[in-house]
Amino acid sequence: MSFCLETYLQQSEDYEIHISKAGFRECAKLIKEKARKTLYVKAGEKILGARLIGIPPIPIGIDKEKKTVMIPYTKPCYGTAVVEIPVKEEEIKKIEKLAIK
Amino acid sequence: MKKALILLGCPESPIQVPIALYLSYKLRGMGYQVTVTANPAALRLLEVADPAKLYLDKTSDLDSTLDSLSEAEYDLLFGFIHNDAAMAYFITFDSILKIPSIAIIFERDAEILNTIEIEVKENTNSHIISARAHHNPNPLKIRIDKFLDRLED
Repeated sequence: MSFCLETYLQQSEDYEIHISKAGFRECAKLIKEKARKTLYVKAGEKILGARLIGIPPIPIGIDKEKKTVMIPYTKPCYGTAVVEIPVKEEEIKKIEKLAIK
Repeated sequence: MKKALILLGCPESPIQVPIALYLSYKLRGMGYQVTVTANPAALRLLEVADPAKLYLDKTSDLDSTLDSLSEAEYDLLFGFIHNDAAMAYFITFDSILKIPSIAIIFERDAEILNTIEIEVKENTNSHIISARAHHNPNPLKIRIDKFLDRLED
């Protein structure tokens, strides 16, 4: 079964919120600064079962050693957060295939 | 029949609901099938304000609409933008749909309004309707009327 971000965030506590209730630009900057490696995707690309919302190109932080990804996560009344989530290697490979830079 | 999608932001701004109902009503009058998409709180406000659906046509949940959205699924996109998150959603919808789009930007703070306008201009080819507004819907209504008049011509 493929990963579903919404369900994961509701049902698991195994994730880290680096910033919340922020603007998209601030979150994108934080990902670029904190991530070991940053890949970029188009706005609306489906990552971890959810469409990524934001101003393209949207950064995704990748840590292959920790097997985590950092993504911006936007909700209309809460602004944007950056969440770091443990993922399987295959999810990182999927992101690498979708990356535009 | 042409299809228009109206994307709403967080319902904290008092003028969003009346302007959204007004825009839906005007577009229906112009022959558009109108879908309003928003989060559940914003949809509840609309549905309570228009129980007989005299102004609204279709409504849809924001997350499920975005999840299944595809290129050119609609003919026209309107986005209500009064904060950073609504701007991020609008740019995302615009990127996926690749159709003519109109950003309706409103804020009472001129600096925030200007920042949102610049971001939308830099990241879309959208027509921008903007006004400093919070309680009074008229500045936006007048600008929307002008745009719709041109659209009909």
